[in-house]
Amino acid sequence: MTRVLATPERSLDALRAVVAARERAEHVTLVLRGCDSRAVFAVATTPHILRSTTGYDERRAAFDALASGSLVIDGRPMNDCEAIDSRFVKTLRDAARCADAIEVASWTQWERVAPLLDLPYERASIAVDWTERPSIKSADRRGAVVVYAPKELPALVAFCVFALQEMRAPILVVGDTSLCEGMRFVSETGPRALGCARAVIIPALDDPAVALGIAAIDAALVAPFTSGIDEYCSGVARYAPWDRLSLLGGVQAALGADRPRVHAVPTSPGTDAFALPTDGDLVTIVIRTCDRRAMFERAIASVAAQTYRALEIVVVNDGSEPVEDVVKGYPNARIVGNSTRLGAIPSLNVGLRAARGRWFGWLDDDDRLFPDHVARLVDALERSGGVVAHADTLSEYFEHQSDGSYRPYGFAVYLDGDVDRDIIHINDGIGPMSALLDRTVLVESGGFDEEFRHAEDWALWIRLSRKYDFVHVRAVTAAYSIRDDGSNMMQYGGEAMLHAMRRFVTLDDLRDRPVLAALRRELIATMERTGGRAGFPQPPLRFA
Amino acid sequence: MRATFGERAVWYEARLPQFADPLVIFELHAIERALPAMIAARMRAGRLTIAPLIDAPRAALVERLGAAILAQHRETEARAGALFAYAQGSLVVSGRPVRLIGPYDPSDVAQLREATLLADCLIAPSRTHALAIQSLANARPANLALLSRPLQAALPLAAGASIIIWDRSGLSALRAWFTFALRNCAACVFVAGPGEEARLVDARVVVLTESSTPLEAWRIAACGAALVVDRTSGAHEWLAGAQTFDRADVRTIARAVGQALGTRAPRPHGTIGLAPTTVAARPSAAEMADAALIVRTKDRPRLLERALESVEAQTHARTRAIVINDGGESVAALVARYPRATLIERTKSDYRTAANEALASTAAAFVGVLDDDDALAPRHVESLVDALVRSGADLAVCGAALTYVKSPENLQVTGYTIVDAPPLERSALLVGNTVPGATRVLVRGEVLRRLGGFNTDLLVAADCELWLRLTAASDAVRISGIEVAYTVFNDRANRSLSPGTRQYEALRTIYALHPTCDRPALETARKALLGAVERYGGYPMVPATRQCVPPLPLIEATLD
Repeated sequence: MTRVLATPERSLDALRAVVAARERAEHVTLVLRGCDSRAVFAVATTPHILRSTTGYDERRAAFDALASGSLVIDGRPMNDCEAIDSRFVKTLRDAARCADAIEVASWTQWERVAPLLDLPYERASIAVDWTERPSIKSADRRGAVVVYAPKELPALVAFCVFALQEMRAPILVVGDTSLCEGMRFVSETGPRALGCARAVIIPALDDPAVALGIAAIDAALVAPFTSGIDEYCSGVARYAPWDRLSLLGGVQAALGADRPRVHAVPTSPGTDAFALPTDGDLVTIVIRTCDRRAMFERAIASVAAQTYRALEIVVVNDGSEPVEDVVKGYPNARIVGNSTRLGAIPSLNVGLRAARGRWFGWLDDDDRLFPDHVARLVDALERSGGVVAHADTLSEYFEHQSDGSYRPYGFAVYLDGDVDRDIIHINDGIGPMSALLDRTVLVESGGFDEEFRHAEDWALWIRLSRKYDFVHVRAVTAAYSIRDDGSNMMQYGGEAMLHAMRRFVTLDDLRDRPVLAALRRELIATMERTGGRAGFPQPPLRFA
Repeated sequence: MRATFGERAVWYEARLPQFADPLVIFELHAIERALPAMIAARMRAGRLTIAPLIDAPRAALVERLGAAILAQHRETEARAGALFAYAQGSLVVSGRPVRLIGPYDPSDVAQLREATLLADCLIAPSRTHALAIQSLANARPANLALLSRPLQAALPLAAGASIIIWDRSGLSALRAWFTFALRNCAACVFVAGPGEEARLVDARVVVLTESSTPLEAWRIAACGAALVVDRTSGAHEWLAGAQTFDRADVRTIARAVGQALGTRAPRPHGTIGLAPTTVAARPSAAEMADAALIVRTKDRPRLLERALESVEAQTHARTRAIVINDGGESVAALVARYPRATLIERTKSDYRTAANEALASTAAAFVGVLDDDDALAPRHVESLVDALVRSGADLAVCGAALTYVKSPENLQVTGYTIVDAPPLERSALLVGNTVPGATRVLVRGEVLRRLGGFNTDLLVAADCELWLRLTAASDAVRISGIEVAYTVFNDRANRSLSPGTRQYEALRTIYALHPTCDRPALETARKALLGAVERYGGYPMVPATRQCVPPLPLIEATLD
């Protein structure tokens, strides 16, 4: 089990760590922090407010504008300002899709973060690590209001200290007070401050752990509602971390309230980490390759690393470069040689004819599978009694180097569509290698249509969707490689793509669906203008 | 005591276990009738649990607009286009973009917020549902309980192939909505509802249309088929493996079915911990403290009786009322009926000195003011004394229920508003009274005496002036409960609302006593307020009321 801590600024590192763990067949939990956009916005804006205002009343007015949403920053109303860079949001979302579980510290956070990142509920995991408690046990010399923020940002500390300026009680601060210039407070060490606390403010935005620890010292507690503290501890006064008046009101409420009592431990819905099958009906994965030895080695290794053991690998070599020596290294792999070069689609049919498995999937030599790919899809097919299942695909971006090798520069998840009988006519949003289907059904439906020169998978989805429901496994189980030197078929094979589109029209003119037919005509017209070449969506962030 | 408002509330009530506290279950559209019952429960028993039944706004809008959208667009493509626009919020219905159409009456939503302020505890069948209520009402009740129920394994195991749309409502629009969403499924799709359980034998996937409770999902889960539920129902919280959809976006319904096909049948998992709703032990010093409430009265025996009843009902044993009759008809016989009350009769009326005269007659540790037209909830004194003892503060403030009546002569209730205790900020108090109504404040008697009691120059706003003197030396505390019922007379018979120059004069006096020369921002705000008070003859100390239908008598509405 791997835990990966993710914050918006570190989202790309998190995504890379998640992908690396998936490659090692580890169960990955993505631990989300710092994703509450309104709170993040308040933290980012506080230094700006403190810098651009002078005097208590002017600052007070600016903070009130922040709370009411009417603050103007550099001439722009705050509604126009982005709290979290959308590239970070997209990258975090991709990391969440690749992870097995997504951990937050409370349900409150889940409700606030899930819409932002479009998180699936079944992967929610709620956990708080509150083993770390302050050493002090009780507050003896009460009287002070303490801001306890030893690990928080200076902006968060300054926001709290400013909100308390009108209180009569002494204000003790444990934390970085570098932004608190001109405010009334005393810096103090943790144990000493807590020892004379009447009320303690714990400004951590999304981690109730410190607050839970401090609940033991029997002082009034005040914490942002975004921390979800009230789910674990009663008697804690809450405030909105962007509203200074609610913080003042929170302290006033906490002073007279019953002492906090920890009443619950985090309960998680339990992520769907059920055991995947490792054995069962035979699965055939066909790898077609054509003179890309280095890539092929990577592809076959990824199939051989599947956790599902009842697996045969059929290699169809459509190139001139021999790969026998590579295949020999894998006992469950065999090679089906083409004596003459057939092209991609006839090669796939060669593989299909050689296949013996109940389930059939295929992989191009430049792509790869994560180790749980086959297990997840077989599991879904067996549960559903369905004949075709597909999962989601990670796109891997490579930069061509002068020495001929490729250097990875980014990740994105966008091949994660559903197969719908209508939409499939105009949009194929699934990665071909992400599917597994009943071989008999495929053979009976005529295999892959050799009239096509490209998009044979798309043609197959259209054909199958008329008769069968597709099972969608919402997990990223395969990686699709995109190279910046134009060596993807999608980039150089524009004419083949246009040919495919025209053939779709011949096969089904959609006479009874005029709107759908018009949309498809429009799509073809656009492709004709661009020569049929596809541009790939670029990853939101590039590796440094 | 349990009260239900609305048909669904009755259905829901039958499924709830017993609670010790008074419980009010209501549908949102019936909240106008429910709110007086909640106020009455709060004033009588001091505690209140509520169970609001609402649909999440987006789900509710489908039920309201679904039929119209499907009827307006007949072709498949046109329908799909319209539903896509609907999911995006850009569909125009009756000339208005759908994102501008609220499913609820704003006044109902405002009252829902007030209900959450009144309640000690809120019951919801799931956390999802509780959060939907809280976000709609923009409220966070102090305690949140969740109802949990065991699964009833009563239905047969499924082994079939079809997709069942299970709809309890029987609404044809809703059934059409889901049927359309699943139009592209290759498997057979059936619509079924209560009484057609036999259909479930054939189910591979069951799609539940229920949007506001997980109750139906609990029942159906036992049939062993894969389950697809509305994410606003909260059923997925209790059933691992249930797939969710957003009914406003029909594409998500088909997507959830696609996912459900490959997942296992849902299984129940651990319940979510309940927040304790019991009241903690009081500090011992609080129980021994004397509290005195100063009741100034003049010729309003019926209202005075109500006020004294509420003092008798206080749970804080050492509560006394000092009634000072400010030159009105004698109330000696009336006051004699209440053991906790003592009477000071004055022959000559002087409202300004009355409070101080009463104050001089008591040595109580905590002193409050109870106007004769107001009433207290039973835990008022107990809560405020507790807060003062715990915090060491000099003044404590609570929230209030405002009852609007026609006039002191005609006590017909015309509306209600609930206001939370505001944060006490000295800067704001220096400009205007942010805590109108002295009844909801309790102060330390010793501090009050040291400061010389109430300012006798002021006919109105003497309370505000006192808060300024108190907050100069001490921090205030606020408690979250609604512990006071104010009476607001629609004919502006309340002293602080009465027309004339009283407010203007009072503000000028207070500004002179508490200068803010060194704070230009406050000076500007003071000038603006003075100007407005002069122009309009006063400023509104209470929010505008809604009409209450039907009008109820004040005394019976709150005490009987």
